[in-house]
Amino acid sequence: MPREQFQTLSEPMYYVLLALMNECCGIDIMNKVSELSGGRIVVGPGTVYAMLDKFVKSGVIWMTMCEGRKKTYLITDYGVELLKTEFSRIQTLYSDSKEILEGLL
Amino acid sequence: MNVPKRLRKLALFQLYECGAMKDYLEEMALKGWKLTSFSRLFFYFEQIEPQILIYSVEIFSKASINDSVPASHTSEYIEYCRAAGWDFVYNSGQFVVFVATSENATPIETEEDARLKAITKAIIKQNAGTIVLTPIWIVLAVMEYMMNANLSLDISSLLLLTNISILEAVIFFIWLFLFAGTLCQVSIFLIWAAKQKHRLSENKPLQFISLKKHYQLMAIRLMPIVVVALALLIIIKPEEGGWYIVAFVVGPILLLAIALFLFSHFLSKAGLNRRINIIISVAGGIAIVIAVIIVSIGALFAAMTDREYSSNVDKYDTLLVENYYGNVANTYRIFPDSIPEGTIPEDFYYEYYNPWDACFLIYLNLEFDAGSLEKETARLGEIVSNEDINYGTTGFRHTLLATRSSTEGIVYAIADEEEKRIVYVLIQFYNYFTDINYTKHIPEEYLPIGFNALPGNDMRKAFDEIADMELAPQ
Repeated sequence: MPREQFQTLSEPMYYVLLALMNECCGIDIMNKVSELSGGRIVVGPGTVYAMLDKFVKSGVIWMTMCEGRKKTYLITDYGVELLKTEFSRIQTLYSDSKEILEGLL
Repeated sequence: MNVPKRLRKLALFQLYECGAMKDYLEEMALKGWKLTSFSRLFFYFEQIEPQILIYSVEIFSKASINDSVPASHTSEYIEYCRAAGWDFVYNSGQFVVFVATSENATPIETEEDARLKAITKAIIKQNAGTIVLTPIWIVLAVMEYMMNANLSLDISSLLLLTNISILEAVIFFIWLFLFAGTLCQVSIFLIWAAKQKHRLSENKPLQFISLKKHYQLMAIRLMPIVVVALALLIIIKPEEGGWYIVAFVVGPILLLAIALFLFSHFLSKAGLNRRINIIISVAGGIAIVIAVIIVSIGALFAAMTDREYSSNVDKYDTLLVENYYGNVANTYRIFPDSIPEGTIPEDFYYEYYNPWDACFLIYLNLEFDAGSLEKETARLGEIVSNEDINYGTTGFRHTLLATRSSTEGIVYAIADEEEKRIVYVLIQFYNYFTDINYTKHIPEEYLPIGFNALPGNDMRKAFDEIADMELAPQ
C-alpha cells in the first residue's frame, strides 16, 4: 500500500519533498537538496529518478509541466501532510532528548 | 585522418557483477581502450590515450534486452545522470554504462537498498521463465516417457520411438544445458544477495564481486555445462555407429547458439524500436525452431541410412553369426561360424549398407594347411547347394565347393587348390541390384564369370521393362 510505504521518510526522501514545496524541475532537485541540507545530503540522479517515479505513483507529488524530457514537479496536499507528520515526529524526538543530551552537545 | 583502432573482447558479466564490469572498463581505459558499445558476449572498444576514466555501471530495470536504442524511460534516466556529471556510453539489456565528465560527479545511485532491489528485480526478470518452466517440463517429459511403458534407459531403444520423441529428446538436452547454467547463476546470485542484505542491515554499503573473483566464478559457471556434456557422452557411448547420435544432439545446439548470436548482434546494430525488435525476435525464434526441426529430421534420415563395414577379421564371429546369420540354419551356412583352426586369414571384408534396401557384402579369403583344407572341403560338400545362378553368371574360375543363390543374391565358396585357399563370397541385395560395389573389394578371379549385380544390370533392366509395361497405358 502506498501510504504504508512512507510511514517514516528517509532523509533523502524528506529533503526531496522539501525541495518540491516549490515547483522544481526534476533535474534541478539534486542541487536543491544539496543546498537545503548545506551539502550534507547527496542524492544521486538514479535515486532521484526512481524516487520521483514512486512519489508520482503514490500521489505524493504531481507533474505540473512536461516539455519534452524536461518535467516539473510539485508536492501535493498528501505530500505536505507526510512532511508535516515527519516534521512533528522529529520535533518530538528533539524535545524529548533535548534535556538529557543538551549538556553533552 | 587517423581512424582510431578498434578492439573487440569477449566478456560475460552477470547483472550482479556491476562492480567487476566497472573495474574491467577502467582497467581497459588505463591500457588505452575506451568502451563504445557492448552486447551480452562482446565488448567493443576504441583506441585512446591511456588515461584514468571513471565508469559507473547501473542496472536500470525499465530497460529491456529488446531495446536497440534507449527507450523513453531510459532516455529520461540518462538526462538526469548527465545533469549530475555522467556521460551516457551505452546500454544493453538492463546494463547502462556511464563515464564521469568531472572528478566529483555524484554517484548515480545513493540508496544502496534501491540498488540491490533493482538488481534482484532484473535477475528475476531474466531467469523466471527458465526456473519456473523447466522443472514443469522435466516432470512432464519423464511422465510421458514412463507412460510409454518403456522403462529402460537404453538410448538405442529411444530411437525406436517416433520422430517427435527424438526431437523432444534433443530439445530436452538443450534445455538441460540452459537450466544447469541458470541454476548455477541464480545460486551464486542468491549467496551474494544474502551477504549484501546483511551488510545493508549493518548500514554498510554494497560490496560487489571483484574482477578477480569474477574470473574465478567464470570457471565455476562453466562446470555444470561441462558436467552435463560429459554425462551425455557417457550415456550415449559413441561407438562405430553411434557418432551420429552425438552430432544429432550437438548439431542443433550449435545451430541454435550461432543463430541466436548473429541475431542479437545484427538486431542491436539495426537500431529499431522495442516493439519491432520483439516481433523480429519472435518471428526469428519460430524460424529457428523450424530450421532445427528440419535439421533434426535430416539427421534422422542420415542415421537411417545405415552403413557398417569392417576389414577386421577379429570381428568375424560377431559380424557373421550375430549380425548376418541370425536364425539361418546350419545346413545353409556356407561361411564357417568362426575362423577355422589351422587357417590364415588372407583377406576379409564385411559391409552392410542400407540406403533404401539392405545390402550385404562378405568376403573371406582363407589359407589352409593340408588337414584343415580337407575338413572344410568335406563340410562344404554336405551343404545343400542350389545351382540356380543368376545375374549373367556362366561359371567360376576356381572349383566351386558350395553355392546358394536366388534373385536376391549369391553366396558361394570356391577352392584354389594350388594356393591351398578357400574363398567365401556373399553378395545379397533386394530389387535386383546391389548398392555396394563388390568389384572394389573382391579380386576379379574370385568373382563368378559374367556376374553383374551392379545398378543397371540386365536383370534389373528386365524388371524395369516389365514394371514400365504394367504402368504404360493399354
